[in-house]
Amino acid sequence: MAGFFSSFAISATGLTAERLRLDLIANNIANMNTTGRPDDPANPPYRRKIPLFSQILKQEEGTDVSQPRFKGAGVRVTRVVEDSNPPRLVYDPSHPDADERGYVAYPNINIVNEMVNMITATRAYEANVTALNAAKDMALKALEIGRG
Amino acid sequence: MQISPVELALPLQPAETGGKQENSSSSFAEMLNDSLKKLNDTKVNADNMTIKYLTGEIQDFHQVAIAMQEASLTMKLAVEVRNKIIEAYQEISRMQV
Amino acid sequence: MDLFSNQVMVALVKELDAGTLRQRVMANNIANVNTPYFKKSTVEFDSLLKKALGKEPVEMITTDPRHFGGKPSLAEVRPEVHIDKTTTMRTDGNNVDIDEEMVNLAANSMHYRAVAQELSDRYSGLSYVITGGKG
Repeated sequence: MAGFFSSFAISATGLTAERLRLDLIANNIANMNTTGRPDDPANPPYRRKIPLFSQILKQEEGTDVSQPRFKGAGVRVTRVVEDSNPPRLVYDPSHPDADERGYVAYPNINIVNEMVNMITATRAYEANVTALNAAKDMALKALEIGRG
Repeated sequence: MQISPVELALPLQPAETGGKQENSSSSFAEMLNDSLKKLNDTKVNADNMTIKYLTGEIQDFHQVAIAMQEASLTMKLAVEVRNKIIEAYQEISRMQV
Repeated sequence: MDLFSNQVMVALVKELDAGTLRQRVMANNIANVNTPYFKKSTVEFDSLLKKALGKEPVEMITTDPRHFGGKPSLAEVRPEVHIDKTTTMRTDGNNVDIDEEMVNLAANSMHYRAVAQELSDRYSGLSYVITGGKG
């Protein structure tokens, strides 16, 4: 179906957004041990990346009164922000990134948190696929109206 | 207290049709014209729906399918009526006077 | 001769429109299942259709188009979208219940297909009758 605001397009935005979230989670987990020197802006530790979701709202354009007025047009990631929480300091004087007190800055990433978010994102992704399939079934049936 | 609506046994006829039936010859021509106009309307509607669907103004295909079915059935009806009229005319012209 | 304006045909067509609107609303709810402070929307149509078909008691019978508060006409009845502003237990302010949406997706899809089939059958029947059994 043509057009940006069909059910297919709406589900597509959901798939894209959740996929992006999964990519960010994978990146967070991969960089769990990317250390940095504390309080050194030239050598910062990895900071957890968080996507900001917001819904897309369609502009009211329709002059056609027969089309129902529904403004929702899916979801999108407006920005990817970095976690503002301070990094985790670990005492390890032998580490190359240790500062003069012997502390190394580790990313403040909790693996359990990331796993839970991953499950949520995966579940949402699958739900969007289900919505897409339902729309497809309906469209196929509508094509048969003329065929009988 | 609940009030149930009154169900009419027969649909109400608009007042104009009574007047039309008195003058039979012109009313038949009017009826034909009217039917042809309705037929054209269904075709125009089907075309409009198709264009709207192609340009993305309409998202649901069933609206197009329904408009096309209505045009198709109205056309079939018109064709069958035409056939019957021609049959009747031929039958009359075959009558021995 | 008007083949398509009897109550059942009009109701079936309107039911199809409501079905695609429901699908779109639910797809939007699901796409926004993780959007903070998003409130889900629902579609109301069945009760409106019942009223328009005269299956429910009404407050007042209108005899003039200028009367108000009476039964909505079948030709004008239209599905309505409502935003559900009730709060939830979720800390992000989102009130989408993903399981409810999935169940309703399946139900709506089945319903739409049944209505489309019914409509299709009626068109075939009309075609058969019009062409005298030939098409």
